[in-house]
Amino acid sequence: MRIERELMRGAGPIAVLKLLERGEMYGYELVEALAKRTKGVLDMGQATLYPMLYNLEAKGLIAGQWREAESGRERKYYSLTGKGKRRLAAQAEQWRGLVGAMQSLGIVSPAGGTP
Amino acid sequence: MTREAPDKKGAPTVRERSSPRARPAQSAFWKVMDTDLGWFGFRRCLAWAEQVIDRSGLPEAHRVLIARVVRRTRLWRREQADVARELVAHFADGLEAGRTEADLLSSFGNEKKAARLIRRAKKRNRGPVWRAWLYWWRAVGCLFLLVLAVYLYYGVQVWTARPKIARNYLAELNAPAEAVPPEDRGWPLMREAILAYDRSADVIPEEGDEPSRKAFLLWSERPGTAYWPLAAERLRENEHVLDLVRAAAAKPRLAFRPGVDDDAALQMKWNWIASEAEFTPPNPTRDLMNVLQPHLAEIKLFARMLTAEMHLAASEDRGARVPENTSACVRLAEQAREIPFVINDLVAISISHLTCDTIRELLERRPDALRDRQWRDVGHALASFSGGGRIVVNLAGERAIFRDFLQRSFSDDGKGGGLAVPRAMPSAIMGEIFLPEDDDLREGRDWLLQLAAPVAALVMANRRSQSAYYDRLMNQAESWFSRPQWEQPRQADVREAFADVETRSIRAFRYWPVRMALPALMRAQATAEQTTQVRDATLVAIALELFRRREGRYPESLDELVPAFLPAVPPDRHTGKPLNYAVREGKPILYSVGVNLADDGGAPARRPPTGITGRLRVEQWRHPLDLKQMREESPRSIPDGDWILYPPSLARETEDEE
Repeated sequence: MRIERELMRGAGPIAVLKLLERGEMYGYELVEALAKRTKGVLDMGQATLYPMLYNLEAKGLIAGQWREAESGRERKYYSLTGKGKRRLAAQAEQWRGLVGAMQSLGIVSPAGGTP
Repeated sequence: MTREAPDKKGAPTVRERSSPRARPAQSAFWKVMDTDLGWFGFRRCLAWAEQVIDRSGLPEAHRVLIARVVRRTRLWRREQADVARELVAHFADGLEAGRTEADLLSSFGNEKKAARLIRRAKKRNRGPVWRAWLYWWRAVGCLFLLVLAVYLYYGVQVWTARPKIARNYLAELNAPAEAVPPEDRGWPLMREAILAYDRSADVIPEEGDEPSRKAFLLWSERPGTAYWPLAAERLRENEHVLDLVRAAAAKPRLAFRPGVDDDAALQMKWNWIASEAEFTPPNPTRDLMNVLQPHLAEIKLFARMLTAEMHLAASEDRGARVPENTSACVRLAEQAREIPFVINDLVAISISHLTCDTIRELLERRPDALRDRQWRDVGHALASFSGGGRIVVNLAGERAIFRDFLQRSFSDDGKGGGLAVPRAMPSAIMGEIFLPEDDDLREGRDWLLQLAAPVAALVMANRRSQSAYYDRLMNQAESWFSRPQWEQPRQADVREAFADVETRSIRAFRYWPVRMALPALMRAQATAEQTTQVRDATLVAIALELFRRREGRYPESLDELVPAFLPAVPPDRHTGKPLNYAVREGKPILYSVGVNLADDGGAPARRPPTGITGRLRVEQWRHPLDLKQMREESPRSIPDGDWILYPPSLARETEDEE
């Protein structure tokens, strides 16, 4: 399913923050995780992901750090900052409210599918 | 999966392969472009990123893609390198995860969009200094656009504006002269005198063999001076010229018409043109500001000749010529004033002053050269100048000049308003930079004027305001002129009234035309007051001589002269009190208290010591409060002693002593 740009703009950053909640990840890993864990719904190309990462970094929600991986290559690992954690908590709450509203309108079912 | 070894000798670099242009390898142009200076330094910015990409070991297609994206971001060198490292890591991770080269390429997305978004995001990561710089430039840009908009707004109005000449002020100025019957006009005789007089012969040797070309120096000679014999000889040879001058002066009016009467013969005489072929008929609609009055210099020179001739006549026992020439000089002064400009008044005042100086010299040196009747005639002639009253500078002509200037240099909205049109302004207002006198230069500077026009229109007050402000200043000046010298305002009051044109701040540009067109009003009237004082003192000196002849003594006080010899004792124009009088060693002394406003008993003021600048002259009036302030700040700037009006030798001797 293809998500419209406006929806992606709202959902993309919180999805990235959520993924990073469990620990630091590098760019390719994030792309893959987004595609797999959302079953392709939030599969965004690198053309979208990296600018989003730089934006989150600019806002101080995530922090990037270059480190050498086991393979010997350099990777930039992103992790959630304190500010990012607070933003994630706030936005998650908003999303829950939104989903609840959608459910009450019958747009989504409690299970998450289309009623 | 194709992998290309990095930095393989002879293998093309990413920079070469990713270039959008095909180019000849040996071209000098491309050699330069391949250096860090190529593409205006952009290559240099890319250098770090290219190194990262070239050393990545990624397939060529990936490296080219990354290089294109990185270049399109147009970020700083360091930022590009960072982006390149991240994308290289991404593709390497993808390959390591088993994805194909093509798959990774297709999943990358739109490279243009990626570059744009990366650029935008990375810029957000920049520090506060850069943001401040960015905001500063944005502010500058907005300000520039605002200024440009205002400039264009006024530009459209000014570039399309055309002044409308509704009145011919020159014709109005000349109308009184046109109305004079031909037989009452002095100008034809004056013109004849000008053409008959060869001033090139009236030179005196000066500084060795170098002749002075200034004839007036010769006519400043007096009996006893070095070149008086030469002057006397030339006066006799120019008797016919002086006859013409006296005849012209005897006419009711001179009736000279500026811009009309300077014909070809006169222009050749004045060396304006070399031959009659160069003569162009005068422009009957010429602007007043540029109208010339060459006749004034001629009148002034003839007056000086007449005063020199008075000395000659007195020394040759031809006393009757003195009242004749006195009358002629006064009439010349009046004729010079027929045109109501300040410059005309100043010439008239100068002639009157010169005549009075001559009479007082004759009174002192050769009092017996004239009979009673002749001295009385001299007195009556002198007293007739300016109707016998105090001399007041006339500002009517200046007002006309400014009105004419406004109609020629401002657009007309039909309601009295309008914007400044600099290209239509005369050089006297715009200055030599924008409007050189030279026509060729002027044409070349037209673009400069056109560019400056909207600014001038924005900064300068509009036509109505200029007119109102000019009138306000002129009305104020006329109000001051109507009062005698001792009731004139303080300098601070004058400065306050003229603040907008005297200031050196930007405000001065608002009324720039007024500033440039305004004559030195207060100085002109101060000169008139001084001449009034000199004229009054000369009349008293004549009365004293006539009294002495009748009574065999000088009076105890000037009151004794009234009413037989004088209608009233004239005032000291520094105080308003009666003119001061003393008899010392049997000789009368007439004096004003002078600038220090203190009666020093007729002790002449000493000349300022050498090296002191800014010192007042004894005849310069100052308000008592200004004087008090000057005494506190710089007491030596105020000369002590009195202004000796008679005898002239007393003041001169004091000067010589110094």
